[in-house]
Amino acid sequence: MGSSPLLQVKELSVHFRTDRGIVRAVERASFDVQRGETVCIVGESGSGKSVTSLSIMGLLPKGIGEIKEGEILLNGENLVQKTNKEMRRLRGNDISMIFQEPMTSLNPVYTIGDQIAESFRYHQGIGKRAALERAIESLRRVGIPLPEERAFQYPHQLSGGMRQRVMIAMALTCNPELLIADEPTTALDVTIQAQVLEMMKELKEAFNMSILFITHDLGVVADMADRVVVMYAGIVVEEARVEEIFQRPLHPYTLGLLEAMPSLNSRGKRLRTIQGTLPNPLQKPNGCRFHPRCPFATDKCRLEEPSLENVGSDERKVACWHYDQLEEVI
Amino acid sequence: MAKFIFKRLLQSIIVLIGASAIAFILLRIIPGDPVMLMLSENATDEEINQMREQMGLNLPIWQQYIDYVKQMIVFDFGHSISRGLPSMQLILNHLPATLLLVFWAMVMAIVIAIPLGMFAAVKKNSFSDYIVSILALLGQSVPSYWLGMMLILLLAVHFGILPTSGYGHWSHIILPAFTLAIYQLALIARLMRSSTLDVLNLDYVRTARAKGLPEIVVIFKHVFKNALIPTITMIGLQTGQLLGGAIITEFIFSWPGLGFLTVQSIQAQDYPMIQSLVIVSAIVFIVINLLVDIIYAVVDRRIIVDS
Repeated sequence: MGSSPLLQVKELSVHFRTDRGIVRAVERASFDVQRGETVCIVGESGSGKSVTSLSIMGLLPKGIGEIKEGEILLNGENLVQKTNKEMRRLRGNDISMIFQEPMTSLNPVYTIGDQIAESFRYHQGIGKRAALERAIESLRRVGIPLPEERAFQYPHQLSGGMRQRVMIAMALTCNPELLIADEPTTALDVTIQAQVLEMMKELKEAFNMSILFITHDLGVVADMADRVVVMYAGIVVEEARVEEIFQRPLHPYTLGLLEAMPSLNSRGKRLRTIQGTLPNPLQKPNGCRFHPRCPFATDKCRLEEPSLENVGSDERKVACWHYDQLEEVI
Repeated sequence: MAKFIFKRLLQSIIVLIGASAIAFILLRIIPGDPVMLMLSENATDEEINQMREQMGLNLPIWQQYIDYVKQMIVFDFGHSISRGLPSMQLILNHLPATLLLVFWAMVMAIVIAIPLGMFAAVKKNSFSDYIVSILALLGQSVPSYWLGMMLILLLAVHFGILPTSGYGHWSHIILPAFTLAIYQLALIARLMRSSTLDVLNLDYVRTARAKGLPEIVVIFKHVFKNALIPTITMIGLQTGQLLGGAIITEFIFSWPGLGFLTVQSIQAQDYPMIQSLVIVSAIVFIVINLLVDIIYAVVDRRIIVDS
């Protein structure tokens, strides 16, 4: 590995207080993001992937979500221990985030130029006019035609794809080291999705940044990821390089996700699904979280919880008692 | 923008016609006869009929209405039966007092309520939030005649700091304006609290935080303007209502405004006077609504596009 990773999440546990009790949204999650690398976190809704990203940003809902344990190290500095003010300086500067809903993520009552210029003004302390010029420049960079005019338009005057480009321009204002993208293309139609992904790859090279990409779309994973982290019910169940995830999944859940994906060969056949649903977040099953839905489950799975262990190399990890059986099945 | 305003003006004319017709018909349906109130008890039938003819009240309602509209077109709104003066002149004489009262009441209410509501929302579920909510509930529940009289008792009679009633000096306006403001203040504060809470949960507020903006900027720039939109409507509607209906407060403090005039005119069954008051109230309401729509459109550009 050589140099230390840009981002290290170590044994992160996040709890949410709800009316019906404590929800352990994320439990002992660990993964790294290297410099210049794209890591995808994959999982169903409710697997804890968005909560993980909000924890890194320090944007968990106040008084409801709380980091219980663990460390989040950015360049070796623990973000969990930072004050609000220190986190504020980091946000939008060292770490940026783009969200799933480009339609609602921009403020309807301010022009897009103004909303991008804000970041320049608060992080770099430059004047209003200079900030606006830079905002126009960053709109140009994300491929928005006529940026001088667009900058003075309001979000409702732009299409969904355009708005997501605006969000990306906004996120990149201060050349962040890490960009967290929480399902940025889910709400877009497929052709626009491809354009936005392509642009993100180009910008990643140009800015030499790392991307933490959160998605449930394995097509996007194949396109974007260097490495993949699979989450299920708040825990990391598998981690691998992208080729290995697709060729040789080790966790039954990953296998299930892959089988549920339509491909050219599966035409005319019924798609496989993963039986059952995510466990109730208030009462997660004992033993392995996945055992009620797992075709390989044994008594051991029902009683003991497997931990995330290295398999072969440092880059290959799985939390399953029977991953060797899975290898035989495939 | 010009097209937008023009469209609204056209709609206003229809509202005016409706309001005048309803007021006209209602007045004539309700029991009571202005002629009887005007003449002495021992007036002869002949005198009564003569008076009725003179005022045009012997004609069928629809004919009376047509005459009334004809006069209105040439800006003749009739004379007050009880005072003999042109009704519009009387209204114009009383209007400034009401405008002054409503203006200061709304200023008091807005200046206090908007920051208070936002504060309560930002500190949601804290001790200070509960205090604000309880005070707001009280403010909305206290009837203005009770509050007005209690204020007079306490500040005017007991402590003698302020006058009980009157008009002309700045000290006269404090008690009535405050009495009027309390209800509005509570209403606006509650609305501002709830609309701020709604906006605080929206995606673009999260975006603003993700940009690393200071919380003060997030609240006062990104939340404030959006939370203000429903509040502006409420303020506009309430101002309109006060202009036509600060009746109780004006009466308690003998404030010589439209409310006072309205009570007197109704007591005297002064048809032309009441009709003109209704028309003026309708016009005030329409103008305020138009202003609200324009302010709306300035604050939120989506509205012009949509309409």
